[in-house]
Amino acid sequence: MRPLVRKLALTTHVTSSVGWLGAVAAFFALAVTGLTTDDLAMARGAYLAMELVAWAIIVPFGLASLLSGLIQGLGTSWGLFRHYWVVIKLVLTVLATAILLLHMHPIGHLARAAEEARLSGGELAGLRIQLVADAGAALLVLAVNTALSVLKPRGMTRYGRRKLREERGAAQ
Amino acid sequence: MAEAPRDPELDRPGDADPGTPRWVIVFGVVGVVLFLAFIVLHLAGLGPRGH
Repeated sequence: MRPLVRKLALTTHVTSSVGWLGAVAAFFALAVTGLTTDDLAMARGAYLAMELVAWAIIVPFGLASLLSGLIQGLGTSWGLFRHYWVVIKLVLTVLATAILLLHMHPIGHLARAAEEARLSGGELAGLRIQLVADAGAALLVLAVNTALSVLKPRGMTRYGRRKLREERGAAQ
Repeated sequence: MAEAPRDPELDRPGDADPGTPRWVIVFGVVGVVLFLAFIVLHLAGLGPRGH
C-alpha cells in the first residue's frame, strides 16, 4: 500500500474506531438514564435518542471500523492472521458488529414504545436492563480493542511465522 | 497501523516454535467465560420475548 493511502486508511480506522467507542459511551449513558429516571418524558427522550445515535453514529462507525481494519490488515505487513493481537481484535470487532446489528430491532422496538408512552410492563423492563448490560459489554470490548491497538502485544501465530519465513526465503 | 516491525522471536536460533504466548491463553479463557456469561444472561430472559 502506498504511504499516503496507508496513512489515510489508518486515519479512517482510528477515527471510526474511537468514534464508535465514544458513541457507545453516549448510548450507555442514555440507556442508564432511561432505566433509572423517574421522569417519563426524560425516559422517552432517552430511548428515542438511543435509536438515533445507534443508526446515525454507532452502525456507520462500527462498519467503517471493521472495513478500514480489514483494509489495514490486508494492505500492510501486519496481515489479518499473522499476529495474535490482530486476530483477537478482528474477532472482537466482527462479534461486536454482528451483535450490534442483531440489537437494532429491539432498540427500535423500545423507541416505538417510548413514542407511544408505554414504557412499563415486564417485557420492556427486561429489555431496558438488557440494553444497559449490552452497552456496558460493548464499551468493555471496544476499550480492549483500543488497548490492543495501542500496546500491540508481541506474539506471532504459526501462520504468521510460516509466511514470514517463506518471504525471507524468497528474498534470499 | 504502521508497517509491522521485525519480531525478535523470529531471530532466535533454531526453528523451535515458541508456542502460544501466555497472554493469549489468559485472554482467550477470560473472553470465552465472558462470552458464555453474555449468552446465558440473554437466554435467561433478560431480553424481550422472541428476541
